[in-house]
Order: sequence, then C-alpha cells, then structure tokens
Amino acid sequence: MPLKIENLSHTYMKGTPFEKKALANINFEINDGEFAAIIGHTGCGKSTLIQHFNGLLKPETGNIYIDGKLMNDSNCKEMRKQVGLVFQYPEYQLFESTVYKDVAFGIKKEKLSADEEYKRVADAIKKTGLSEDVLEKSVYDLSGGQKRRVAIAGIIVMNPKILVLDEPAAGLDPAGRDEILSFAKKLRDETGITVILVSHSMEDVAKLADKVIVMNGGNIEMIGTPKEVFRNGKRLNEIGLSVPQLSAVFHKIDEILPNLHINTDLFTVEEATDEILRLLSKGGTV
Amino acid sequence: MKITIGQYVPGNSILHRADPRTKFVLTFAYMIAVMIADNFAAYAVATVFVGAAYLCAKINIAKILRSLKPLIIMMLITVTLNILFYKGETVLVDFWKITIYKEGILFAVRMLLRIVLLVLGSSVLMYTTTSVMLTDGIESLLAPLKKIHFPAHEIAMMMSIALRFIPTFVDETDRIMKAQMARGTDFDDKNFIKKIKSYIPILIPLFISAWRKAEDLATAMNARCYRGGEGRTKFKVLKFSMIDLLLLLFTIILFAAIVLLNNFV
Amino acid sequence: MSDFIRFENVSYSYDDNEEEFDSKQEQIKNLSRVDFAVENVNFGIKKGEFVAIVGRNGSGKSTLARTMNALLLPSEGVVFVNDIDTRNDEMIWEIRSRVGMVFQNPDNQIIGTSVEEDVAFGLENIGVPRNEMIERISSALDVVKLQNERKTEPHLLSGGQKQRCAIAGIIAMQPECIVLDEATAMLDPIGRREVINLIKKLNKENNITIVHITHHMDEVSQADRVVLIDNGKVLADTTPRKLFSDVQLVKEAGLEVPQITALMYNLRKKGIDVPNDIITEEEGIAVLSELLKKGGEIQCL
Repeated sequence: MPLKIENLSHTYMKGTPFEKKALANINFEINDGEFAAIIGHTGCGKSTLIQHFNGLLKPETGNIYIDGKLMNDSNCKEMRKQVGLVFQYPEYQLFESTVYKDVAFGIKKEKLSADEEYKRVADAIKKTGLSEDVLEKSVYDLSGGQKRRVAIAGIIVMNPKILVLDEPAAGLDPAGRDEILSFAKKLRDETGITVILVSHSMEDVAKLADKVIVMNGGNIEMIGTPKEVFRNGKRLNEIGLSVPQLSAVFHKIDEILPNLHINTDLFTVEEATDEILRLLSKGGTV
Repeated sequence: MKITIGQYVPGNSILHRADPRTKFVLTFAYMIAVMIADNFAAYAVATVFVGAAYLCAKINIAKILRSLKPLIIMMLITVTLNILFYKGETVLVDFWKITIYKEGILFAVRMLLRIVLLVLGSSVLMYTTTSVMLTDGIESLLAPLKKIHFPAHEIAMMMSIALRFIPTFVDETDRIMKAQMARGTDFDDKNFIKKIKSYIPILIPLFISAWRKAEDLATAMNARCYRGGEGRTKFKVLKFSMIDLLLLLFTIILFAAIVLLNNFV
Repeated sequence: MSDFIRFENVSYSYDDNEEEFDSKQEQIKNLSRVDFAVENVNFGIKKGEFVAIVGRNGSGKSTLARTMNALLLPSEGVVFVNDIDTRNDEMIWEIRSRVGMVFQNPDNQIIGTSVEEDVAFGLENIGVPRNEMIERISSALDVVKLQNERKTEPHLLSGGQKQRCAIAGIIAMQPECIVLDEATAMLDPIGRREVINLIKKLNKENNITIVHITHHMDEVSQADRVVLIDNGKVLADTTPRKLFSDVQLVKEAGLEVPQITALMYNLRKKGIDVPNDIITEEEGIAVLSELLKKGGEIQCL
C-alpha cells in the first residue's frame, strides 16, 4: 500500500521553553510494495516521523495519505490497522503467558472463530521464521531473538499493508541480524507488503532497500535509490553517517586508478567480487 | 510527557541556597507555629512570613494559587461543616433547622487560613529544593538514628535511586503505551472495566522491565563495590552557612512572635 | 610476564548455582546432565592487552565476563585476578576495584542523579576521602570528555554519553582492567565510535587492560587479540587478522567477517592470488589497486 507524506512538521512541547522542532516540512512518497529505508543519526527525527505513519502522533501541519486516503482524527484508528509499527526492542512489550496469546492479542477485537484465529496466529508466527511448536510455550522460555520475532508476529497477525520496523536488528548477533532482515525481505517479496526499515547499518540498507530516505536535523537530506544516495559519501560522513565498507573501498580505488572506470555503485560482497573479476578478465591476468 | 516531582522551581535565592536541613527545620517550626496560632494577629504574622518567603524565592503568584487548586473542595467542605455545626453564642441566622453563629463563621475562617498557610508554607520547601537535596537532607537528619539501627542510609539510597529512575520509567511507559496502541489497544474506552483491562498490557511489561532494571542495577552496584553504608565516604556534603543561621534566627523570631501574640492579644 | 587474569579449567553452570537447596542426591543426579554456560575454559589475559571476546548470543561470553570480577564464581576451576583467587571472600572488593565492568544497557547502570554523583558512587563505596574524590572525579570526566556535563541528569545524556559516564565511574577508581560486556550493543554508530575511541585511548595511554565483548566485527579488528567462544568453549584464541582469515570458522560460530575480508576470500576461491588476512579498508584498497594496476598493465602490453 502506498504512503505519502506532505509538508509534515512536528514540534515537541510547543509553547514551552523546551520547544523543539522535530520535523520540518517533510515530503516523500513510498510506493506500493516498496522496500524503503530511513537512515539518520539519533535525534534526527526518524522516530517522530514513523509514529506519524500510524497516527500515534498527529501532524502539527501537513498531511498523511495511506493508499491515497487522507488520515484524519475520525479514521485514524481504522488507518492504524493498515500500518504495522514495530518499535525498537519490541520484545519488551510482550505480556501474555503464552506465545499464542500474545500474538493473538492484536486480533482479539475481530472476534474470529477459534479455528480462524489459530490459523492467523500460526500463519504470522511462521512468516517470522519460527515454527508452530513455539505457540504454546511461555514467552520467557525463548531466546532474545525468538522473543523479538514473536513480537513482530504480534504485528503481522493484524495483516498490515505497510510494515514499519524500527531497528529490528538492534542488539542481535550477526546471525540473528541476518535472520530478521531476510525475513523482512522475504515477507515483502512473497506478500507484496510495503516495508519501511529504520536502520543504522548502511550495509543492510544498501543490500535491502529500493529507496533510501536520509534524514538530518528534522529535514530530509537526500532521497533516492541506494546507488544514488551512497554516491554522496562525503555529505553522509558530515551528517554522522557512512557508506557501506565496500563502496568506500571502491570509491577510493576509483580515485587512485581513474582510468580503470571501476563501478563504484556496489554494496555486497558478491557484486564486488564480480566487478573485480570483470576488470581482471578485461585486463587479461585471469 | 514530563513529570517534575516536588515542582522544583530553579532559582538562586537565599532560600534556594540554604541547607535543606535548615529548610526542613524551618518548615517544621513554621507548621507548628501555624497550628498553635489562635488569633488573627498571629495569622497575620505567619502570612507576612510566608509572603516574604515567596517574594524572596521569586516564585510567581500564579504558581502559588495553582498549588491550592486541588484543595478547594476540601476547603469548601471544611468551611461549610464548621459554619453549619459550630455552636456559639451570637446567633446570626436562624432558619428552619439551621442555626449559624458568629463564632462559627470566625472559626471557619480561621480553619481556612490555617489550611492555606500550611499548604503555602510547606510548598516553599518543595519549590526551592531539588528532590536530590531533599533526600540528602532527610538522610542527614535521620543519621543520628543509625545508632539505634535505623536504616537511614538505605532509605536515602532507595529514595535517590527512585528519583533517578522516574524519568526513565516515564519514557518507558510512553513507549510501551505506544507499542500496545500499535497493536490495537484502545485507551479511550468509556467502559470503566474495559479501561482498567486495557492497562494490563502496559502494567505487566512495565513491571517486568522494572524487575530487570532492579536486577541489572544491583549487579552494577555490586560491581562498583557497593556494600551498604558502612565505611562509605560522601561526595556531597551539606554546608551550614550564614544564610542558614539567618533563617534559623527568623524562625525563632516567628515562633516567639506567635507565642506572644497568642497570649497577649 | 604473568597473566593479569587467568582462567584455569573454568566451568560455570547456572543450574548448579540455582539449585543449592536441592538435596544432595538430586544434585548428583543432575551433575551428569549439567548444562554448562562456560565449560573448561583455559586462557590468560596479560596486563595492558586489548582482548575482544566474540561469540553468538548465548555462547557464554557474558557469563565468562562476570567471573572476571567475582560477580559469578566458577562452579569448577579457578579464576585468578592478579594472582588472587576470586573465591577468596576477603579480597572481593580488592578484585572489583581492580577490574571495572561496563554493562550492556546504558540506562540500567547509572546510579547517581547527576553525572558527577554517579562517578562519585564507586569512590564513596571504597571510602576515598572527599578531597581526593573531587580531584579524581574531575580528571575522570576530563578523560571521557564529559566535563561540561558534570551536573547533567543521566536521562538527558545520549547513549554514548551514558556509557562514557559509566566508564568515568570506573576509571575514577583507578582500575587495572575494564571489562565491557556488550557495552556497545545498544548504541548508534556515533555512540559506538565514542566508546571505542575512548577504550583504545585508555589502553594505549593509561595501560589499562581492556576486555571487550562485542558482536561488531569492526570493533574486533581494533583489538590485539580475539577469543572466540561457542557453546561455552573457547573455539579460537588468536589475533583478529588470523581469526578473520578463517571465514569458514567465523561463519560456523554465527558471526561474520568484515566485508573486505569476505571479498578477499571470494577472490581467492576464484583462484586469484590475494592475501587472506586483510581486515581493514586501507589494506584492502592497497591490495586491490595493486592487483588491478597489474591487470591494467598487461592489457596495455
């Protein structure tokens, strides 16, 4: 489902001495089925921005359109169901005695039949890569990474059309990080859900996203494909961000050997390997 | 969302700088003085005293009045009951079963004054002292009780940790509330039972988080060699200065004035 | 030089320690199927070393860390800190003031209601006189660059600042070793950089031994030495360079190597002669541009 943000501004504690502009005139669009990433250092307004997507925060000025429909006070709760927002460290919000009950919490209001409810819950838990066996377990018997997936399943079960993940991999080990992120990618590829990922890892963003939104000081600094955005390494460094390691390396090589015309728009190890092999075969050592 | 406990108003007045222990003693003495005051001259002295304190601390009048707002109902009830049921000599109104005496009205006014003066006086302490200073003051005043194995250090440590974690818990509550709202919890429900129920998904995670925090904190304190109050040195010391002497002098004058007025006016 | 911290056949089991009230018989029964969080660990950490400990979640890293300052005592074997057995009750405060520990969650380890009070906390506990305390706090805050935040309340600090405040509280106690138990896991890249630069400085300039437990491989490459733990056992104890060159082993342990190292590994698999121990961007740039230059020359001929 597409999401459109128009002239959005937000100020915290307006009219007090603590007044702080968190968002200033934000405009962008995320298309249906797109995998978008939002990057920016802490305090740049990311968290404030994503809380507008499902109406947890009301825009001070500006409009939010979900599937072309303007969000307002009367339809905000309805709209909230379309946008699943997974907060940072979502495992801290679990509270039921079993995994099943916790995942089902979000659909209790729908008054489904027992069978139907079970189907939805089992389906959601499987989508996150866990097996049905965990459903009857206590939440507290699971590992940190599993708990997090249970929490994400608690959002997925509501069948959102847009899934917003705020640093879903924070604090996990590399294997856990890969699992969570590849789940998000797979979910998008299989169901066509729109995914918005907030992340600090440039490597992950480059690998996964179709569109990157760079925020700085409550403004949008850049917006574009990973290739377009990560060409501006210098500016990204200035605002406390970086580029994926390989892209930094290839840019440097391009500076040293400009005649080579090395392709610098690459981020993954596989792409880099292919590029080196291509250049070498052109050169003739291989 | 921000909670300010004790509603401390930053400033640099004499009252702000005074030792919290002095302020405790002063507030205590003032409260006793107000309690024993039994004529209007004595109340006038106390009013002047408390007014001077507010002027000195540079706290604006709106704030003072706002602090009285929650008490209005209580004050109204007190006044009404006193007027209706006080048995005096001079009858002012005698209507149906209601008899109002002049003494009753005077007594009600005195009660009202007493409440207002007590609230205003004790608020000065809260307005001019940070919660941290309050804790230190309490620990220091309770220190002599350590001899009879009263856990003065432990109580102060608990209070100070509680103060330190209030903002953290406020943030956490906000976060969990939003997370559950994102899962469809509705806090606007009109039905009382439903409303209570809707807070369970917040209270349980909050409780678990508090538990984990306590555990983490205990480990961290252990790792930093915490082993109770014994043999501990203190970084913060409370210093008794000229200001405190001056304030204590004022307190004595106030006390003396009220006792004198009680007896001779 | 003898080791500052030494593990001798150290095992630790949470079951053992939680079931103290169990009958003897049951304990014996349990012993056969005891689940060790740490199992038969042997290694030493030298004074002034910067050691990284890595391993997947639940591998036993944190448990191991907590035996280094007697927060946990080994179920079997002995941990020595400066030749003191950590089971020695009388020396426990001595050990803890020598080995400071920074924990994962920045919010859950600050005790004071302001930065300077928090730094003072440890000093108060070990009974440092007030005058000396003031000096030590001031110089500790200088080292971590929080002098301007002296009076700030902890909840107003950024994640990186909170961890630096925690580190200041430890260095004020003048320890010989700091153990960071995933202290960078909850920080953003800027906060992580702040903490890493600080611990490198403490290691180089103040000769403080650093034990850094982390999931971030770029931080590992900064260390002199890395210990890989999996399933409670030491899988490798080597230099970061050597560890990363064994891409297979690292992957099997649920970790990853830096992108540049992975690239070299791939190229070698394709039969291209590049070194297998490249771990930094600079090295990678040098090797690749040399390789490509040669390729270019051949084409010119």
